[in-house]
Amino acid sequence: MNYNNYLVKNVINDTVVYNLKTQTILQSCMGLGIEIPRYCFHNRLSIAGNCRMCLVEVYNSMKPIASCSQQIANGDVILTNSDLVRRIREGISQFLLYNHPLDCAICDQGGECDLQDQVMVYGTDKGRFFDYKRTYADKECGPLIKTVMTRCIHCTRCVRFLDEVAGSTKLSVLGRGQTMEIGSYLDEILDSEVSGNLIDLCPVGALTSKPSSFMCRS
Amino acid sequence: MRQSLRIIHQCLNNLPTGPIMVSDSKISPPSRSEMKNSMESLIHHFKYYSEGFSVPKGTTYTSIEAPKGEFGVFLVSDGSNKPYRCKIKAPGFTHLQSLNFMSENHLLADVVTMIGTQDVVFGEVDR
Repeated sequence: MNYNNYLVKNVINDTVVYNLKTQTILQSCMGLGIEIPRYCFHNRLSIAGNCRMCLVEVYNSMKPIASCSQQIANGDVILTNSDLVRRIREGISQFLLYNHPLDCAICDQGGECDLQDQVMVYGTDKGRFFDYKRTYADKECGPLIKTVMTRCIHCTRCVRFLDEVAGSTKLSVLGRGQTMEIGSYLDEILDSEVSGNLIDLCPVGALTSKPSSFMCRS
Repeated sequence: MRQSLRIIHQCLNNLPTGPIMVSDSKISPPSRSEMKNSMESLIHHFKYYSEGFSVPKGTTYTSIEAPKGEFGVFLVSDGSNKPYRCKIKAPGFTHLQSLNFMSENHLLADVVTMIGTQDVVFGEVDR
């Protein structure tokens, strides 16, 4: 059996490695134990590539590449911790926090929040934006899910989960840019029996558990 | 006492002006006003005061010279944000051990005076 049909040779962070052709850059880095921050990527969901947190530097590529959606190619020389990549992560973190409300103290996700954890490791220590933050009206999602939509970072995990796993299209992305928002065009509650998973799926405190809200902190 | 006060006054007069803490929020908590205005500072503040710092694995015994003698802390870290083991050695612990040497060939009644002289706090010996 000729493995060359299945394997590609890469250099990741100055180490020569062999990867499966079908892998993405993020998957091969995970296999090597290299941590790449991400918000929108989830193992069991389709790839969106819209959070841009997983950008890595690839030689001879004009721009940094979203590692979660890019399939690894033979001869790719990848840097996951270069100065450029670090600056990009800081920049992405700043943009995410630009419109994020100062809710940590009263947020149920505080302490188990992906945004907090990744800003601690990859973000800057001080913000540079002191403008007014944009706000959204909260959604009514039924008896399980409490929503604070202003905290949303638009990773679209909930949209993809409902679409692919629950088979419901009740949540979608409305608007673009500054006015982008997760919601349903008609105000409907989520009646899917697996909708409770969104509580855990949401990396920030936008979708939290309604029955146990303000009851405990992890 | 007057000399001590004079030294304190000299120290106070020679204190340089300016900020007294590092302004890098990656290693020190941000100020209150920053925390209430910037999301980055809020997150760092939240994490420092809820999770704290994760120190590398290892053990340390660090002692200082306290008024009564050597005061030491033995810490074992398993790499998390809480100590795996923490033992505090108070000065009275070593003083009490020397009681045997000091009270040899003395009367039993003298032991009371010796303990009083050493100013042993039994609560701190016990830990």
